[in-house]
Amino acid sequence: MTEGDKHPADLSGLSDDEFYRAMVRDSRAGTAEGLDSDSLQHTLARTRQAIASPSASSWPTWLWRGASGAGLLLAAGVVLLLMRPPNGDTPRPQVAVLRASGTVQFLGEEGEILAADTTQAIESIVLGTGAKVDVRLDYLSGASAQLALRDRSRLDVGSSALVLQSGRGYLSVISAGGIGPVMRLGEVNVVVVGARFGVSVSDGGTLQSLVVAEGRVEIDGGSLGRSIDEGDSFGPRPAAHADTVELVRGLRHWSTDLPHRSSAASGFLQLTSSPSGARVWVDGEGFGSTPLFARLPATAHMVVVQHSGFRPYRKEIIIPSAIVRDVSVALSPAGTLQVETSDRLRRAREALRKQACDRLNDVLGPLLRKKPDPSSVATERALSRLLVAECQLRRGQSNNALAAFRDLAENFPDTRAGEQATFEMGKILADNGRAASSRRAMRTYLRRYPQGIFADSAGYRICEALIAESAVKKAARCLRRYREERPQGLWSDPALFALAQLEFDRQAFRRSAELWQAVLGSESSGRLQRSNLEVAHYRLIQSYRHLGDRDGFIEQLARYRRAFPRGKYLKQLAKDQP
Amino acid sequence: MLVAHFLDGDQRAFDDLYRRHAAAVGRRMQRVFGNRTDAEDMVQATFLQVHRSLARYDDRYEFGAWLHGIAFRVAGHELRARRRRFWQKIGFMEDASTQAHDPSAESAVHARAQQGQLMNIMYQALAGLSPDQRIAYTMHEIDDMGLTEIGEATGASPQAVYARVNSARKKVRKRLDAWRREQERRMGR
Repeated sequence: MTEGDKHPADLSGLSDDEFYRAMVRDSRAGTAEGLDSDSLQHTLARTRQAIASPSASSWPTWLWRGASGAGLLLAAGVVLLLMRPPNGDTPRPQVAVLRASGTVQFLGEEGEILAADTTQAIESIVLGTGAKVDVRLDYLSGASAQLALRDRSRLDVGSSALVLQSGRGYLSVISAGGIGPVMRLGEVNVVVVGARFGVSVSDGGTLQSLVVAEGRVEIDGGSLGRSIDEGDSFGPRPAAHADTVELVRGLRHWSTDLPHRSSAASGFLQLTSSPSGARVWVDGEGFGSTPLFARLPATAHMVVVQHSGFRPYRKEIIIPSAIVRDVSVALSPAGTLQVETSDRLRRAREALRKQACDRLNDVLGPLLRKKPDPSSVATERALSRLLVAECQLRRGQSNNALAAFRDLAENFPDTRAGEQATFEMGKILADNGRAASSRRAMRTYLRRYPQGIFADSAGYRICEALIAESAVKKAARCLRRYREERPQGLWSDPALFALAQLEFDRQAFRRSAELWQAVLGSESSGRLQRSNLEVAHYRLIQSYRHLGDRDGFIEQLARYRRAFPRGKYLKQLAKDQP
Repeated sequence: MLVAHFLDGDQRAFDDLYRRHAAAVGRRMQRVFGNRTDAEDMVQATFLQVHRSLARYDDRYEFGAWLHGIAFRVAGHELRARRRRFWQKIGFMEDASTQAHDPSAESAVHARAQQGQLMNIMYQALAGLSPDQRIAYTMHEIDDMGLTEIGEATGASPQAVYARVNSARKKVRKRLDAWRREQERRMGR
């Protein structure tokens, strides 16, 4: 008789091998059915809700996003751009410029979600006067974000226009690719075809101007060319709106309030290059890539255009007031070292994406040497080391990655890569069970970068490390402090959960019950992972049991049963019922 | 084709993708986690990530493989986070251990076996594995996936997957044997 013929109750007579196979077989049978259609439908609804919700995520996702050793994704800040027309002035549309990657949501005046989308890049958002736009970004760490944007500079908001009603004017963002919406430009119909992105500002339903980075514009069926602006005479248009369109590019603008600028003091630069896709700097500031349309102060500007494998173009260009200065640049071959380095980093990221660490080392070789090429800059050398360390981490070589991150943190503390490495060190140490070391690394991070992009997570992870060290009281204090200091923090809800569990563990059941109630009653409970939600129900019921609160127990048990008709704790709780 | 429709702004295409693939993801996640609730959470997290990443999907590769790659990454992250947040490690493990040590039970092995729930003991043993090992082990041993297939989905070589499975198998067997000896000792008492 094989072990398969035996009744499970006869397991004691099996050999070790047979017993093991019986266990595997039972696990296989027990997990074979998968999820039924009801659960799948329910999960789809939750997924849709998570996609559309302001956080655009649920606990599991942002837990792992923060917790990931290898993940580059970081939940970033929320930029609230509040546009108000200046007193006494004619309201004018404003432009916010964002360069990022991730989820973008557009909220209306009442805070309602008008649209949400995952994007690879946001080049520009033009706001109508008085519009309030809440833009939430998830972006890749540091330099990765910039690369992702350069590579994928397109705005995905579906194939139709996104229109935000806002006071007198409204905003249209025309999607990448496809055929855009039909718009009225004066008396004619305008369609944007195959645009990488386009923006338009309208007032009273009449298009005033249109900028298209790529693609073509058709007016009443005929192709017009690359862009139209106010100077083009297509139908009537309102007067005194020279300031209606502004395209500013570059990361540095992304979190600033947008000032009103006098149209008299600015002009426009339309820059094309051969080949296109070259990076552009104006007065030392990154302005994206060609073809480029940008509004600049009406003065002289130093414009630099660079493309991999080509000699950089540098020229002082005077931008006249309220005029579009059209500049075409033909780049000549033979690039500089810096350009080659950038190209190298691009290839390195490609290798990282494929987890080809050996290729990554080959690509980055010159930047990784102990005595690097003196013309390479520290940020690039640091970034190279970061990429290698991340590749090692993705391949599961956590000790090597830890050493690389440590080296990076010590030798390049002033770079973004150094900052990330310090944080990553703490994460790896925590993952490897070295809680005290992890806590020290996180403290180092907070000391060096108190306003750093990982400061929120570092603060929470210190508390986590204290829990792991069984320093319960300190951990509880740490969690409370974290929640006080960062009520809107990324980890505020997990901190509440952990605090409730700590109180439960130290048998402070009254306090624990209050906290579990807070977990279940908080706005965030909708974002709780279902398994954690179930745990919260279970713990609250257990707390009532320990407190001898029969009514509370029964009432909460009923709630739990309603929420989880097939809950895994129901059987146990039925036995425990007082 | 559905991906292209989604990228063109057709949200229904995403729902269709979900309907086509969610059951398979759910089954795999149930293999990894051993229970429905976690599997549902992982399906949600996976498709949320898929929604974010669809624009990066390279249509030269099979969509299912790409999707399962994401699912395994999401599962790995979740397991990693749980290892760190050990205080959240309650659930069926606790039930299993509670019941296994319940002196009122005539024989925990017997009771468990009668219920056909040896699985819980098995997943208790799996809790000691690293996330990579657990995914490789459950996929290979319980879900009968090939080493190459697992490697493609998790970004590891077949040799690395084999090493993970082998190491996991040894650990699981060790823990199961220890558990069994303990039960036999109790039964013999």
